[in-house]
Amino acid sequence: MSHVQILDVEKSFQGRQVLKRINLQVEKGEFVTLLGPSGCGKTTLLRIIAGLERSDGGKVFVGGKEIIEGLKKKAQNIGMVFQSYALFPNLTAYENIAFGLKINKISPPQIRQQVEEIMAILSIAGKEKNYPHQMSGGQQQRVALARALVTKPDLLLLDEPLSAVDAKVRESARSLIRDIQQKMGITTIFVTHDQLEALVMSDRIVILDSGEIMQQGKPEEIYNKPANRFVANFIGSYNFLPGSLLGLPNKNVEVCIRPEHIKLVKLDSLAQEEDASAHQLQGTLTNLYILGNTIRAEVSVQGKTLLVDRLNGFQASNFVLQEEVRLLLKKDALNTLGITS
Amino acid sequence: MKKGILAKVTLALIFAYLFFPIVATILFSVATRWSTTILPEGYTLSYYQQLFASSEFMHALLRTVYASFATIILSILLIVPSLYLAIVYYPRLEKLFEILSILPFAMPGVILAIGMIQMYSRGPLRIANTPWILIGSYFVLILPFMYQAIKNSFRTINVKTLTEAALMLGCGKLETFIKVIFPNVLRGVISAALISVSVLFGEFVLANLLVGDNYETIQIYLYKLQKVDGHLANALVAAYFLVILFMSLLLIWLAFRTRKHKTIV
Amino acid sequence: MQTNLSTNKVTHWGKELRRGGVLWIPFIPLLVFALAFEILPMGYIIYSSVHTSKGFGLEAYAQIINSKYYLISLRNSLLVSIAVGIIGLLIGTIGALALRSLSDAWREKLLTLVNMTSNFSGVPLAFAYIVLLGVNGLVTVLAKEKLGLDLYGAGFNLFSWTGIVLVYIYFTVPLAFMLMYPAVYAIKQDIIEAAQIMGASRAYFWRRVGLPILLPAMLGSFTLLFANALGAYATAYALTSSNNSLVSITIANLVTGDIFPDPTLASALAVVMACFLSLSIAINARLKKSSGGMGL
Ligand SMILES: Nc1ncnc2c1ncn2[C@@H]1O[C@H](COP(=O)(O)OP(=O)(O)OP(=O)(O)O)[C@@H](O)[C@H]1O
Ligand SMILES: [Mg+2]
Repeated sequence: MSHVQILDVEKSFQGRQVLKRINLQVEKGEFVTLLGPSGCGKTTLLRIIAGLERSDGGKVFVGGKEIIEGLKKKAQNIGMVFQSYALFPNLTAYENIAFGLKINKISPPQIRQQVEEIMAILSIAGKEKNYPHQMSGGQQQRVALARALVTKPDLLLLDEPLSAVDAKVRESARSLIRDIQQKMGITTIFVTHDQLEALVMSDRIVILDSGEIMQQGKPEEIYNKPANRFVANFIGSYNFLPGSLLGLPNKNVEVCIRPEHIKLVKLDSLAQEEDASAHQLQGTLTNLYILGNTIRAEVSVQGKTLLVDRLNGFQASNFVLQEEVRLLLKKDALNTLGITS
Repeated sequence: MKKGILAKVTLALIFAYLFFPIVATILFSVATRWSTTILPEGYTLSYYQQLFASSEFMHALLRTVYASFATIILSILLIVPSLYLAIVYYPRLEKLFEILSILPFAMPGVILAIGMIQMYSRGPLRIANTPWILIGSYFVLILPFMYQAIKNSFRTINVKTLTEAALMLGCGKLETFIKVIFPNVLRGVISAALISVSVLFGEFVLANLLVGDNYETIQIYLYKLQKVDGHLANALVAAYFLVILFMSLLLIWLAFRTRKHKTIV
Repeated sequence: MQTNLSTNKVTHWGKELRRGGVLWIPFIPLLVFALAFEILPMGYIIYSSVHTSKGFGLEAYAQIINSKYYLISLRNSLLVSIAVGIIGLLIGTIGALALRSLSDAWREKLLTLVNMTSNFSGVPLAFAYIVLLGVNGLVTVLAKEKLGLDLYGAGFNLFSWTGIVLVYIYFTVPLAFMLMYPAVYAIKQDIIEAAQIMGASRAYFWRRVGLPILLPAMLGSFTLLFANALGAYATAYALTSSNNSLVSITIANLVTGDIFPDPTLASALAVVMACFLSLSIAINARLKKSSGGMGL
């Protein structure tokens, strides 16, 4: 049986459905990310799993035990990191971290040892006596993480814990969380609306939109094989094309392809590049610009603008704007999204 | 939820406690007879008619209006320009305002009054028992409210940056203040004035000790009336509270308008 | 580049502004008024308290210390203010806490109502209470007729200490409510939930986290409520005009009273009272500084 089982969970706020019959299983030790745009219901789902919010229908089981809102949480042993950290402002870092252990009536020497251990792992040793307002955002976040981890929870819930720190800290925190999660083998549900974060950290990504699961799968599956237009759009700059443009047998189908799977060549290079594994399109080069280590070209094909990415170093100088160019779209990189209306 | 119900019951009790005297006063002011029943036996507006027909009442009201408005206009003229200048040009002088606005907490009406009586009953400036001394003391009384409200409105419009921007665009210093700054803080100034009006209309100590019968304000009139005609005095208290109510609604409306304004910008 | 240029220009202008020229002129009338009606009267009281008919001396202060009468009025005032401060604070804090259970819209509406009632003090308030709880007040009569409860027979008297404390509490509660609300509001739902997830009971949370957060604000609010009650005059005067047992009324009577006017003694008492007020304001300011603005 899966460690976390979410069965037909529904939730409405003021008559508006926020979660629509969500079903999700999380295996022991798995790192699952809930990814979706703001307001899609990620926090609500996480709070229902934590037992902080009552669901209107359905059940949640963690480790075989049903989660019920309002019930005492002592036995559950769930750790949670809030988006706001929710540190107790009147307690020092040490006292914050020891809070849960004290409730569980652990002996003082053991508390000391466990708190010091987790503080060392998260490199916040030495901050024991600091109050939350005396620490940087990144340190507060580590204290919040330490507080959630120190009780060795069976399930760790993280609600956008990285959204309030700057880009540098966020990057190192990502790998830190992932490392600790794997070392301790904690089942983890992580909420974010940052697709890069989800791709980098997760064993499995669950994409939510308006309270519904749009797709779930391994990061590379989500990235390369988006199941629908929403996922493709959300995961990053996919090109969308009507099937008719490529002369596909089914003209009403919509397909998508990532910019790096399109090849941009001179019009006259056609002869050598004849290739059965790619569709060919002709268009006008309308724009070229640098995106860090890639160069992006915008090509207008029958009034539709397609994005094409090449690694920086590709001979951009060979091309001039408004030049007629040829595009090669790898057939195996095309995703069929379904019938357009 | 059990906790929610407990909280609501508590709130209901506290509000009943706070509003019971108010509601009873208002009911009593329109009651024909009310002694041994839960609610009045009949209703009438005759007390209000009598009250508003009384010239003594009208004069007392007008005196309060004059003294309050004179004080408020004076305070605005004295505080707004100099606080603006302090914030923009002389940041150190802001400390001065802070001291001036905290001092009244250590000298409530009684203390202020006995200081002023002693000072202005003799010597070169004999203004004790005249409206002038009342205006002077009212100025001190509302100083903290005025200062806080006006400072907050300067702060919300980021007055320093605004001034710098206007000056950069070639606006003169005086022109900047009159055309750019003042219209932007007008709302804050008005709410400061409204708060002050409700404070001054309820003011008794200073009026009683400094001018007494020589300049009978509405509160002094009420104090005397209470000993002569309970029912009329009660109507006056009810009317006073209705005015306060109206003023609070006006303040809320102002605050609400400001907020709406801000979200649009 | 563009933005850099303009910010440079702005700071340059800022420096230019510092040299304000004749812009200090509007401060003169303000200072004149503040001197005439705020600072000099305060100074004059101190001067007057040591300026006796026989020259300078501390006789007035000695008289206060040696007189049972003045010490008692001082003690009465302090006791009433402390009692009223504590009771008002408790009711206000409980009210502010209870307000958390409401939605934002309701919360704001109720807060403005509370704010409105905070204007109800002084003579009108005393009078409303006389109408309700005076010897022939509505409640007094109704209680006797309907419940057979004789309030005055049972020892209640609006015109005595019970009455003064009762009415003072009334005008203290709205203030306490408004003062405590920001501090109570600072205990956000998220830390309650964080504690809940870790298995803490409500009581444990409030003992370990909630109350310790509230305590500085409560102490700070208390100082203000105490000062407000200590300085109050109109309510007690309207309720018990002849009863001199509160220090603010004693002070006023010593100056305006026809019987034994003694401005020197009045000033000395005023200075003593101002010291208590300054002390509580100073404690408040200290708390405000150390708790980052929570004390108000
Ligand atoms: N207590 C509540 N009362 C009413 N509506 C709510 C409440 N909590 C959430 N909602 C609504 O439910 C929807 C989902 O909210 P939720 O907080 O789960 O979104 P989210 O996916 O976490 O978004 P974000 O990325 O912005 O945090 C939103 O439209 C929100 O407005
Ligand atoms: Mg959220």
